[in-house]
Amino acid sequence: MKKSSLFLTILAIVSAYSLSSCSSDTKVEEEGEIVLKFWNGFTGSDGNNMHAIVESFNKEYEGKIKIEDDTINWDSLFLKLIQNKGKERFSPHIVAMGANRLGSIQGKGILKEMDDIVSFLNANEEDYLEASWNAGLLKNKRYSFPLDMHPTAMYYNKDLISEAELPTTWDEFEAICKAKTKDGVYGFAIPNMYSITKDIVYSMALQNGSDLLDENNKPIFNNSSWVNALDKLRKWKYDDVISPSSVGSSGDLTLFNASKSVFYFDGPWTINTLKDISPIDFGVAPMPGSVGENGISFSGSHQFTLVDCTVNSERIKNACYTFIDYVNKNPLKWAEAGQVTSYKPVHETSEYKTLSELQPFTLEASKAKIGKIDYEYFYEAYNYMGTAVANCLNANESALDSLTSKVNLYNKFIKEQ
Amino acid sequence: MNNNHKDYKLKKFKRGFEKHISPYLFIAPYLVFFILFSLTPVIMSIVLSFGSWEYTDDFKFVGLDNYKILFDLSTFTGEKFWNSVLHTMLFVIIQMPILIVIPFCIAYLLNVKLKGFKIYRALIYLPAILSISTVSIIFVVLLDTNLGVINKILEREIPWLTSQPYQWISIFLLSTWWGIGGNMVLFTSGLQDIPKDLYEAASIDGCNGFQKLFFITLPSLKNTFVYVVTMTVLSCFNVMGQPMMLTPGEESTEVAIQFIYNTAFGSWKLGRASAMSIIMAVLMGIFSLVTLRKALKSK
Repeated sequence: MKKSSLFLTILAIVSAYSLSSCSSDTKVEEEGEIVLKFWNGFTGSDGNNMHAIVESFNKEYEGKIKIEDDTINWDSLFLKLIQNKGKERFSPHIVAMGANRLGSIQGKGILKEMDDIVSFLNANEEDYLEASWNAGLLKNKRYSFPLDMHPTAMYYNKDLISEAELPTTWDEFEAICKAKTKDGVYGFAIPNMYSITKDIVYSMALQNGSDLLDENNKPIFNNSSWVNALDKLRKWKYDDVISPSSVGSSGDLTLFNASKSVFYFDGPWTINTLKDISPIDFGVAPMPGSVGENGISFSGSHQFTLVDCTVNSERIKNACYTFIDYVNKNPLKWAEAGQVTSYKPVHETSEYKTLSELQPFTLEASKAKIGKIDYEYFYEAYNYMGTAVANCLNANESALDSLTSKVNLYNKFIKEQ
Repeated sequence: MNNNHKDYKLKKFKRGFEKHISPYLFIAPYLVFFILFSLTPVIMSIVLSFGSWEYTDDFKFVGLDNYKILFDLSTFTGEKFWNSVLHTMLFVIIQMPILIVIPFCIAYLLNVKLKGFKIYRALIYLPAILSISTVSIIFVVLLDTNLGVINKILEREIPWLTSQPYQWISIFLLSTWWGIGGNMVLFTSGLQDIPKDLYEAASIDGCNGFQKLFFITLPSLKNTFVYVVTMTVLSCFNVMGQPMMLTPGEESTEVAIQFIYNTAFGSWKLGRASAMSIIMAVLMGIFSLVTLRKALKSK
């Protein structure tokens, strides 16, 4: 065979293969196995456990339903959803997302209504954590089904503080931090940068009777409740010096792991990370003010959603519901990843109770609030609040100035939408 | 006779093909990629800058609205965009001279071929092969205020990553450490191209080291300098990784490319982001042109 003919033949074969690979892989056959695409942003332990759940579902439903899961960085996931709106070939069927993005994604017309999932799953509202159950209702229609909640709790170094000393109010917290700050050890390393500190401030504001937005979705995170909360943290940092004056974006975790701080605040996903890497003996307790009679704190929540353009038949929809039901009714694997499952009955099982570090999060989640996530720009308001918190703690700007400047900037942003 | 005529025509065709057609065939692969992946996006960007598109809706022509918003400092986008441009200009003005002078000095010193100069050259170039993410993680650990190695050595608690002006200093330090290798290699190449007999002749004429530097080395490196300056200016204008990874979420270090990226892929406002990109491209063009003309003028 001449060299040129061989080359052309190879080129033809490669081209034919490439072109054939471009055919749609989202086509669902009318009969036989249904293949569903499931996108999520779970990484690390979360990701491994969710993948294990998917594998176990696929095994049980072999020949009937197959889930193909894809882990995509959260920001890229939402961008891809937006970019591929209406494009069945490039969109997933099921997406797990944070409740704080529901409003904006639903506002783009991407999500499918799921009002009938409650009857399909025979789900009872009482069996689910209230905040996560209600999170799925946007303007009285259901667009998501709850998977979990993840409030912020208080990790502590057992070598530096005993369980009996653990604070349940912020006044007790301040007192114990002042007492424990000595000999190069700080009570609580408060990050200067944009961090989970915003969730602490949000929780304090909720405990003070306020919220991020009012009933008309106007930002109110510069009112006295918020100012008092943020002022408290600024005072702890610069006046009481229970924290170093400069703590970088992961500096709080670094100091905690080095036994240079007594307390560290984070979500339940950090449990497994600390178990893997931390040399200290740590425990977890609910955030001060988050439990008890008037207890409340801010929490995030993951929700299952369906994509409108791909879930376009009853058969596909029911298959999606079947998967969601499976995950909800087999939640231990997800709990082991470090998430408080929304499905409450599992909280009473002995297997769940052995996850001792998760119990304080579970207690908090039962009283937590998720925020006005039905508002399309809730996520942006939340981020502006976070920036205001960071600016106050970093630049030692007053709480009122910092919060007010971000309320004004947020209002400018809304005006341009 | 017929055969001779055919041969003549074939030869003429071959000559014509070689002279007029084959050069284009050689550059065709690059041209295709350039048109598809460079020129087309630029044209699309220009078109988008005059419209409104948020991925999920249809493209809507809005004329100069995007530009009006950008040039109105009382608007959210206008205020934040020009703030970010100021931050970018700060980076360009300070970082650019550093990334030219230091690599040149290193290349010049290593050009005298001291013992082990090849190892030094390789070590200085090494950071350039790392990704910005890797380099940033290294610096975040090194510059941690409380447990970082740098503060331990200095025996101070400098807030490198949490307060100004240290945040910018950290960004400059990282950019310098990461960037000097590439320019050093270019200057080295330029220095090695200078004929040795020029220096020999200068030595015979009694020139000292400084005179050789100013009257032989620098003039001979004019073209290298022009290239390095132009490329360094462009790369400084495109800074994004360093502030994003060293000082995440920090407003006082948010640069233009970061804000454009967040507008396009966070707020999903492609029209506005495209308009910002065009303005940045014009600024970069003006800056590069001024720098280039100055360099070429003094030739």
